[in-house]
Amino acid sequence: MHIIVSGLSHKTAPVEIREALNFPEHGLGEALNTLTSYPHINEGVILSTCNRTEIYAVAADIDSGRQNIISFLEDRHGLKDCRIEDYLYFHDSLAAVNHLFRVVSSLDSMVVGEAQILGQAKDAYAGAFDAQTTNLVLNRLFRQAFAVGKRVRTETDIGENAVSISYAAVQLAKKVFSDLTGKSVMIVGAGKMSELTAKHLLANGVSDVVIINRSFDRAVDMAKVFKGRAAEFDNLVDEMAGADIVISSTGATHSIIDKNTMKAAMAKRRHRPIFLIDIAVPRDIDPDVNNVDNVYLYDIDDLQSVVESNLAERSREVKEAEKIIKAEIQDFLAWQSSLEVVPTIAELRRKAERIRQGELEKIMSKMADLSDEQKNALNALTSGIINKLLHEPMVRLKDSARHKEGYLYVDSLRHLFALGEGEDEPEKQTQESASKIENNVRTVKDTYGAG
Amino acid sequence: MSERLVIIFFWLAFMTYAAAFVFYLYLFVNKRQILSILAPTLAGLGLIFQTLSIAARWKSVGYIPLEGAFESYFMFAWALVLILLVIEALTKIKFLGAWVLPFVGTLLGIAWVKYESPERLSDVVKNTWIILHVTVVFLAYSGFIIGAVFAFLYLVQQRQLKKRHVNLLFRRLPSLEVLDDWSNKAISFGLPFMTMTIITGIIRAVKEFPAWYRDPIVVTTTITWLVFALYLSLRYLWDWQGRRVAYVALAGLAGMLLIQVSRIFPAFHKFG
Repeated sequence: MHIIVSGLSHKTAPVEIREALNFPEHGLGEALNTLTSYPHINEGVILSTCNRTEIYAVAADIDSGRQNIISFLEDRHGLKDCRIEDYLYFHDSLAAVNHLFRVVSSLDSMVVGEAQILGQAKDAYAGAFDAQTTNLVLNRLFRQAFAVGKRVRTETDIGENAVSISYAAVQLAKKVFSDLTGKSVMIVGAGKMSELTAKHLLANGVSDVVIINRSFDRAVDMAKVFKGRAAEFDNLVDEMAGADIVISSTGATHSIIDKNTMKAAMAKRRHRPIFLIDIAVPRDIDPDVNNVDNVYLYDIDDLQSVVESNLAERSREVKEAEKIIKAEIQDFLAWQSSLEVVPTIAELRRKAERIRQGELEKIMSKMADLSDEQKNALNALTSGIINKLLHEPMVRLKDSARHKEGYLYVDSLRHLFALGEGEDEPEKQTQESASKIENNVRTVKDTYGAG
Repeated sequence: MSERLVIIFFWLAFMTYAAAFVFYLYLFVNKRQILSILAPTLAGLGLIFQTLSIAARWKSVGYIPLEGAFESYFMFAWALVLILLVIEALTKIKFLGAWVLPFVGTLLGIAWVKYESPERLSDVVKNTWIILHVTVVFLAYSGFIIGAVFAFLYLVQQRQLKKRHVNLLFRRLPSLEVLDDWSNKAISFGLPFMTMTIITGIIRAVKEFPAWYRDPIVVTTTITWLVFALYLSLRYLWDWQGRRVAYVALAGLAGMLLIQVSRIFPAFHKFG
C-alpha cells in the first residue's frame, strides 16, 4: 500500500499541456472509475484545476502504480506520442503526503496563499468519494489535508497580505475603514491600474463609483463599465467631499490636488477620513497632502514598498505553514503505521495472552489446592484454546498482506478487537517517537511490497 | 478564616490575570485559535477568583467592601475586567486584554500595598449614597480607561498609516474606524456614570462638609469630567474625530491619574 501522486502544474508544464490534460467536471466520475480499473491502482482522486492536474492514488506497488497513472493519462487524452512524462512530477509515500498538504495550503500555488485551491481540492475529493474510488487511505489522507489547509489559513497570515499593488490598496483601505461595504470610490483619470484597483475595491464591498475625467465623454463611457456615475473635472473638490477612496491616475504634468484643495475638501466632508491612492507618474497629488489630518495618501512607490514588506512577511508565513504541515504529516504517518500486519498480529496475541493470564489467575486463586500437574494442564489448555482460535485469522491476515487491499483487513481487525484503543494499549505504542514512525513506514512498504 | 480566603483568592486572581496577559500577548504574534479562546477564558477565570475574594471580604466585614484603598482599588480592578470581557464578547476584538490587563495588574498592585485588615475600617459605606457613588465611579473609570486605550491604539495605527509602516503591529491592529468608534463608545459609556458620581457625591457631602468644593479630589474629578465632556462635545458638535480627539481622551486619562495623585493631600474624602 503506497500513496502516490503524479501530475503537472504551472511549475512544470506550459498552458497548452495543462489544457490537454484537464479533466472536465462532467466526465470526472467515469474517469475516476477508469483510473481505479487499472490493475495496480486501488484508490484514486483526480485534482484538476486550470493550474494543475494531479492524480492521487493508492497503489500496491510504486513503479507499477506510476506506470498505470501515465498510461491512464495517455489513454484518456489520446496523447500516446507526446511524451507527457517529461512534464509530470511524481512523489510517493511521505513525499506524496507532503505534496498534497502543501497544495491544499496553497504553498504550491502560482500565487502563494490564494484561497481557491482548498475548495477545488474539496470538490475533487467529493467527486471521488461519490464515485466510490476512495477508500480507507485516501479518505483519511484528504480529510486530514483539509484540516491542514484550514489550519494554515487560520493560524498564519498567509492569505492576508496583498502581494500586488492593486490588492495592497484594498488592504490599506481596510485599515482606514473597518468595512468597505457602502463606501464610495472616486476614480480620477483613467488607466489599467486604476481600473483594476477599483475592481478589487468593488469586489470587497465598495458600492459607489464616481468617475472624473478631463474628457467628460470618456468618463461617461467608463462609468457605464463600473455601473457608476460620471462627474465634471471642475467638481473635483465637491466630489471629494462624498468619496471615501480616491484613485488618481491622470496624465497631468502638475499636481491636481494640493494641500489647500485637500483642506477645502476635508472641511466639506466634515473631516471624515479619506484614503488617496496616487498611481500617476508624475504624481497627481502633492505629497504634502498626507500631512492634512485624516488624509492617508499613498503613491505608487508607497504601495510598492507595502507589497515588498508583505512579500517578506509571506515568506515568513510560509515557514510557519511548513511547520504545521510537518506536524500533521507525523500525525498521518502514525495512523498509517497502525495498518501494518506484523505489529497488529503481535498486538492481538498480546491481548489474548493478557486475557488468558487474567482469567487463569482468577481461577487459581479460587482453587488453591491444585497440584502442579493440574496447574500445568490448565495452562496448556487455555494456551491451546487461544492458539487454535487465533491461528486462522493470523494466517489469513499474513496472507492478506500480499493483496492490494490487505490493509482493509488490518483496519477491520484492529477495529473489531479494539486494538490500540484505551487501556489495552501496550507500552510500546505510547512511546513511539518520530524516528520510529518513519521506520514503521518502511515496514508498511515491506509488508505490502509484494503485491 | 474568611480573611484568609480573601487573600488566597486575591493571589489566585492575580496569577490568573498574569497568565491571561501572557496568552493575550502571544495571541498578538500567533493567531492560533486555541489562544483566542484561552486568553479570555483565563481572564474570566481570574474574574471568578476575584469575585470569590470580594465575597469573602464582604462576609468578613459584614457589608459591601467599598471602604478604604484596598477594597476600592480591588473593586475598581474587578469592574475593569468585567467591562473588558463584555467588550471582547460583543466585538471580534481579541487583543484588548493585552492592553487593559496591565492596568488591572497595577490596580491590584496598589490594592495589595494598601491592604487593610477588616477591623480597622469604619462603616461609612453603610450609607446608600456612598454605595451608589462608589459603584458608578468604577464603571466610569473603567469606561474611560478602555476609551483611552483605544484612543492610544488609534494614534499608533494612525501614525503607521501616515508613515507607511507595514509591520506586525499594523497588521494586527484593526482599522482606524473601529478604534475611533470604540474609543467613542467606551467614553460615552463612562461619562454618564461620572456625572452620577459627581451628583451623588455632592448630595452626600453638601450637608456634612460645607467646603466640599475645595476638596482636591472634587476638583480633579471635575477637571476629568470636563475633559471627557469636551471629548464628546468636540465629536458631536464640531465633527472632530480621530487624532485630535484621541489626544483629548489621553488628557482625560491624565486627569484620572491626577485624581489618584490628589489623594495624598488631606481631604474629607477618605476613600471611595
